[in-house]
Amino acid sequence: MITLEKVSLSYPLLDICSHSLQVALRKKMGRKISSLVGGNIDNSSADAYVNALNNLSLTITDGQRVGIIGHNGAGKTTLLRLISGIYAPTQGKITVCGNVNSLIDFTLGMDPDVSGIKNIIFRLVFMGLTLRQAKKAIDEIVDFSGLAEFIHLPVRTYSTGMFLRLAFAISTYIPPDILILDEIIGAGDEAFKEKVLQRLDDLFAKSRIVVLSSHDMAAIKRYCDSTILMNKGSIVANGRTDEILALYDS
Amino acid sequence: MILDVQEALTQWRLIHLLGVSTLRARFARSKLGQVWLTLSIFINICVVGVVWSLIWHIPVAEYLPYIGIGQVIYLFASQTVNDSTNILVANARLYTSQRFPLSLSIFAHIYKNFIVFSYMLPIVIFLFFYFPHSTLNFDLYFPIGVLLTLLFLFASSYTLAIVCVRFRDMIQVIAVLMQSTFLVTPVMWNITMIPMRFRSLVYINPFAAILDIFRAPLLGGQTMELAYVSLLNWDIFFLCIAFLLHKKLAKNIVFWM
Repeated sequence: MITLEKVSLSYPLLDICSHSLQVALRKKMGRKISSLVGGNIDNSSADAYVNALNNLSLTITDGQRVGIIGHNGAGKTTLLRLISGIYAPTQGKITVCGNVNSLIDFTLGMDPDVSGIKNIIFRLVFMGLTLRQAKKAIDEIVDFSGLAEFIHLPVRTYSTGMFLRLAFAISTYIPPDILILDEIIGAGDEAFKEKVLQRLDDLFAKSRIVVLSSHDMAAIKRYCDSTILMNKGSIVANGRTDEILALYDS
Repeated sequence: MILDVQEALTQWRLIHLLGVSTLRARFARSKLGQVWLTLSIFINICVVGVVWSLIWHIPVAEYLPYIGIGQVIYLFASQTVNDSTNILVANARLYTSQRFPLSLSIFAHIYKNFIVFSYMLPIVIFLFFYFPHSTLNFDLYFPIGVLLTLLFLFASSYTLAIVCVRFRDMIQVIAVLMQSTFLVTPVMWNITMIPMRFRSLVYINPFAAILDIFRAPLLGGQTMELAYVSLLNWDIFFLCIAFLLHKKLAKNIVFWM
């Protein structure tokens, strides 16, 4: 269960200058000086904020498959990060029950300099498994990825497709309570695609809650029973997928 | 912050993986790997030790172990603090794609530096036996000293990592500061060389305190009480700052990465 109560989130816009103590101090001092002499001291973007999310209220109950759609910059990824716990809300309250597996970056923890086998263990530990559990999973994952003897070579020698196949096989190994996806992940050639779809169906079915943000309307239609349409950090509409998609198209 | 530390410690497997992975990247595809590190430090110590003992007319067998062991301990502490400025900047990808406690990469950083330190242990053991009157003189205070040192490294790394991810020019400031710290730390010189009334001032420097806690027992000396007092004060100071920073800023840190 995920509940958002009037959640707003704004984050500072930082450019190169605002990462500098020197600039920050000069601005602080500058303001004092300017109030004394009435001068005009230039303000850079250090105080600028982006209102990424405005006053969102939302409840996602167990069993729901929720899609998030909207233009670039509508706040989709920010919302996903908020639910994942990466960002904390500036205002409002968010409660998330259950362990979250966010596949925002589904290669996180992998190291190109070691073998595929070790990468399986590394990635699974990053996803919260113990070393022993991870070792047990190796056979199944190697089998699924279809990498055969390549699995013993350092990952840097893989082609991009092979690397993604491995990453996909590992990341979709355990169904979490709450699955968070930024775009449908997929990998590999035509023959592998069938397996990928099968695996995703399975993963979606086993997770309690799925939140999927995507520009691919076919995927939203296929996987999500309800959809949220976002624009400029606000929820424009929230309802059944076919209704929202019709609204989005018009 | 206590929760943050607790959460990080339960993920000790990740601390191990993260710590080892940065080391692996450093020594990737070199056959001797970390032996290079030990070797280069050892050669450096030998050259400096011999040259300075000739200049100061001290027997090499006396001076070389003193400076050698000192150098290894100083490097461990100073590198940990110096490199801590970059922890959160380097781990940005980690924190922007999954939720992790901040202390996780701090612990991984200290763990990594501890492994590097352990590569240096052969040098310490060699120099210990090379020293003409080598006796171990560990007392009950030593474990407390180790604890204070680890606490210092954690708290200062935590503080600097947060400050430097916000203000990137602080990375340079700390680097310059650490360079001058080397000169005011009795690595190359002995504290008995300076006038009595200035000696206690040396211990204001936390690295001088750490050095004294680890080196004195190895060379048959006695750690000054002042070393413990100084380090304890620094611990409290940095812990308070780290605690405040975490309390006030924890939410915002991820946006600065």
